[in-house]
Amino acid sequence: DPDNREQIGLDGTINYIQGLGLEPEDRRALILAFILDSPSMGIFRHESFVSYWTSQNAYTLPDMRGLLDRFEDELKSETGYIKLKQLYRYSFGFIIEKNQTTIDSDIAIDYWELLLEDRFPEKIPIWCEFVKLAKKGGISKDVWNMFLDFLIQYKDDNTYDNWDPMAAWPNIIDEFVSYCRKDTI
Amino acid sequence: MCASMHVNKSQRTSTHTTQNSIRHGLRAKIRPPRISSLNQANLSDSWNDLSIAITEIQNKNASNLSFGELYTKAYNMVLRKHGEKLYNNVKNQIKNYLLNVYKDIVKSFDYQPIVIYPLFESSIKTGGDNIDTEADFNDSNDPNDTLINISTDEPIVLKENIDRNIRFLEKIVTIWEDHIFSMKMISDVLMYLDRVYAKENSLPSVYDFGISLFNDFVITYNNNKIGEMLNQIVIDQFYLTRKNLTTNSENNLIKSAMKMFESLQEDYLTRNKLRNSRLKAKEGSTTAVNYYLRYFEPFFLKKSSDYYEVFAKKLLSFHDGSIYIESISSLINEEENRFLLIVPDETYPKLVQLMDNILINNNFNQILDFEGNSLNYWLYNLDFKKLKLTYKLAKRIDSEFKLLREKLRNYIFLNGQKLEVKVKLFIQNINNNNNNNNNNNNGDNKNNNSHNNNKSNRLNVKKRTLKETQTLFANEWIKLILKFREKLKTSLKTCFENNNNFSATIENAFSEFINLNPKVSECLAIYMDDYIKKSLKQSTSISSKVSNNISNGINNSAIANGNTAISTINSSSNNKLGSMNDDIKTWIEGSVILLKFINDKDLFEKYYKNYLGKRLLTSRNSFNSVVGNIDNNIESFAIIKIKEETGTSFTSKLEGMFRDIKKSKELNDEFNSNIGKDSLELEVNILTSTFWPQTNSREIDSKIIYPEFLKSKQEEYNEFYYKKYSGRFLNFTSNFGTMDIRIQFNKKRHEIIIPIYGGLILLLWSDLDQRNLKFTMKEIEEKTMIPRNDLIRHLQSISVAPRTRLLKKEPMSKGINETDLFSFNESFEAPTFKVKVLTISMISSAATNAKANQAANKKEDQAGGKNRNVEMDVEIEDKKREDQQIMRDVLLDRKYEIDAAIVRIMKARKRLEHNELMSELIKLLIGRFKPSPQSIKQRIESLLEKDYLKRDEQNINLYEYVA
Repeated sequence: DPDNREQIGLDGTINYIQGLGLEPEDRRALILAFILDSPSMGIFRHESFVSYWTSQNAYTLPDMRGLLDRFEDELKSETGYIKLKQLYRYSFGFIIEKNQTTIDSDIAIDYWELLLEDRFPEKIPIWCEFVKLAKKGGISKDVWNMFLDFLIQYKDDNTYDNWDPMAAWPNIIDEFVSYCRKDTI
Repeated sequence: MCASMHVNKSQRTSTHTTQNSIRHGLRAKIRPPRISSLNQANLSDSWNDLSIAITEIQNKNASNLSFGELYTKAYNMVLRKHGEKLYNNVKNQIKNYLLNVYKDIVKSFDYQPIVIYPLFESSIKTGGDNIDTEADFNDSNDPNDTLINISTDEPIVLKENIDRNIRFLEKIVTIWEDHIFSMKMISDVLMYLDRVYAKENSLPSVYDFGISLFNDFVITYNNNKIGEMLNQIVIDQFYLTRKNLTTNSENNLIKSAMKMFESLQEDYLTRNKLRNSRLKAKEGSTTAVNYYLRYFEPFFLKKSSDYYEVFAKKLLSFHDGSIYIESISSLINEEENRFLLIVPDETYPKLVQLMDNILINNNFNQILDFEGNSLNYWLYNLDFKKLKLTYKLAKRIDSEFKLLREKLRNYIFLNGQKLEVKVKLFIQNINNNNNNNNNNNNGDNKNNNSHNNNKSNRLNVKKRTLKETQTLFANEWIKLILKFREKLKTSLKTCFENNNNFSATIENAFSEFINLNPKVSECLAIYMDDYIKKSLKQSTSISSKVSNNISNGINNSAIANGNTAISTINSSSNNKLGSMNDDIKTWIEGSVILLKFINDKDLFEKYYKNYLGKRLLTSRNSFNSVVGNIDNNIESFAIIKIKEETGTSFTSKLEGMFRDIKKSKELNDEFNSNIGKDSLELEVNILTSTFWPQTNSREIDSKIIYPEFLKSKQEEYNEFYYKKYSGRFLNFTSNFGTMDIRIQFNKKRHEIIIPIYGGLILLLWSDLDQRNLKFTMKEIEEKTMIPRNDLIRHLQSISVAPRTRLLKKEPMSKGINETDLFSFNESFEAPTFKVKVLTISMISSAATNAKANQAANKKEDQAGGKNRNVEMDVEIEDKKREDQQIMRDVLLDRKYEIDAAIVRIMKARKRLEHNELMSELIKLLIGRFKPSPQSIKQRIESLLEKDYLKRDEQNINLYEYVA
């Protein structure tokens, strides 16, 4: 970045991502941000950039691309919830704009589709549709985090017969469940 | 033979005593046995003698026998190791004897039934009315009545067989008693056999096997032939006893028979085995099964059960709860007395249980649900007798009264809901009546009770406004609820022993139905407001006020008339308006109790505060009501009671409002008697803005233009106040206070009591020289800066309202337009010196103006009714808005309260599971309102968002407090 030698700026980031053969909309770009601990969109800090790639012995673009692909594969594997969760939770901080406590639901929807749809192909479209309909302004960190827990816990349950509205789930998830139930009847 | 043997003829238990006394009495006669002399021949002689003696004893010829000799013979036989032979011989002889007895009995008697029990058929005589059937039913209690009752569902009693059976029963009992008696004698003679042989070989004593043999070879012999007859006879007799058809001696006979049954022990061999196995090795242990338990009791219970079943079924067929519970109560009572007299102790509880089960438990649900004469009816009519009975019966089957309480809850819940409907009908009725009365001179109100009529006449001179209807509804509804509660409390006390379970049931049920109507909080507040206002309203003194922000207010007084005279008035009257009598106290206590049942207590607080504020600011007695001593003051008494019901935090604002008014009064006195001492008297209410619901826009207030003399007065007061309390800020709110103005009109001088805005308008003509000036509405607006809505309203009050036309208006229409001209009406007249200007309400002002403007184009004044409707609509709209505003405020307050409560709990607990947090919260907040789980979750989410809380990484149900 011409203004700040400690970080790679927006243009540099785009160049870099393209250098890796990726589009900025690719999930791997997000993974990249995660593993390099990018503080916000389009910015990499010099220090974490160097230290991470050094620790992974990756000094060339193909090396780096290989690592990203491996991470991506792990997300797709049946057991990869831990990595997914880390990435998912990290994403909230990555997406959120400065001085905000929630993310805009439209943006949130984009990221849900990007991050989760391949693992939860049934629930994510309904959820996104629901969020659009319900016109919830912002998505708080708690809702964001709890949503993945919810997906994992109810992965194979689309009827929610034993749903307990008194449990600790955020209201929006309660509402989503009753929305789904009405839908299934 | 010793005379003492006659003691205790039949009681086996006393055998031991008897033996003792025999031994004691005979000791001298008994010579030590001569061991040497007896031989074989003597032995069989001895037995022969004994055998004969036994027969003699059984034939009641014992008086010739020598006890000593016989005893010695038996003694010797045992001593010579012939105990076994003797034992078996005796047993055989007794057995044979008893077999003969059996044959005799059977030969001479055959059982003939005396009661024929028909199968029950439902046979309600549908034609007969209740009184008859009930009387019919009671017949059986009257012993003088016909012995033979041949109604279809009553068993038939065959009188001719009774005596026969009785005689038979007597005979058996006598035989039994004789047998016991002989056995006692025999066993005395054979005492040594018992003591040495039987004991050593763990065999039953002679006496015991005598009884067993009677059981085995008389009563139960041949498949319990005699036994069955006896059972049947005893049962028949017992049935007659139940019908009160027996004499005392007959009852005693039954009792003796049962005693006999109890004494009859099982076959001794069975018992022997038991003994040998050492299960019951103890001598005299009589726990072995006797005839009574084995044969009679089951039969007896079965028959009793049938009897109760038939009884219950018959009663059920009346479909009348009263008949049922009264009849079974008296049956139970009689049965218990009978049991006490006749039935053995061990059967008593079994019968009671049986009876309770069949008569009460099995049918209670059905009985209590009968339509018509049953629980609901008794509760409604306060039939204490029936309720008491019901309670007593219920207590027999369940000490927790689950069923009865459930019924009670249903009753309260259903009827509680009906109260609301009732009030609505009542109000509708009044309205209809009113129409009727208008149409027909004296509409026939036959159907309506006088209460209705009175009310309707009083209330319905004109059509009520929404607010009046609302007040009426609130008053009637709350009154009914309180009355309903009073009734139930009386029942609780009189009939349910003030049982805690019941009292909780009643309160819960109340809470349930009351909260179905979300308006209950408001209604209670209206109800109390209305009552307190009425109690306070008795005098006319004048005061006024204004307020806002940390406080403030101007007010009152002044002006002008004929010669610029500014005179004043006003002093608070001294009559003791705030004082109360006991009625009022009781009333307040009674009303406040309802608060306990209301979930949304915070909503009540809000409404109450609104009304309280209005009362304090507008009632001329407010000073008195606040200043009076606490016990004697309606308002503060009410607050104290509310506090008792809800806790301190609830009423702190209300109390603050009082303090304000009180303090204001002191300040006013000080101000008026020192600084502001001139003809213009100023009374100011200083209101702390956070306590008071009434608010005003500071922006508007600061723009209002006051005449110079009022302005300087205000400034004087400001100066006075700031000197005392620096750092506070006063903001005069101009739309709350009133002025008293004396004006000389052409005819007379009048004192005009008028709201400040209206007063400000009038004061435009305060200068005599300018009396004939005319201003347009627009001009007035510019001169006073009163907001347009208020201006129109106040102009209407003093130029359109028929009684207070202080201004002339051109053109003379109801609506007010910018270009309308206003001038002072010098020819104003009024019957009284004091004239109070009533401000037209915001609503009707708007409506009138709207309508008037609308109608202006068309014809004037088409129909009053239509006008009214417009007004009504506006009023309803307005009310809706107000309610919504209040609801919004309340919901907002709740958010804060939930937040605060969560933080408080989490601060103390640090980490807490979701469910625990929920229940703690509800506990904490229930005194104010009942938070919904959703609303709590929302607050938790918001606190999570604001980082007051965080979720545990592993357990999503666990929250952690973030310091």
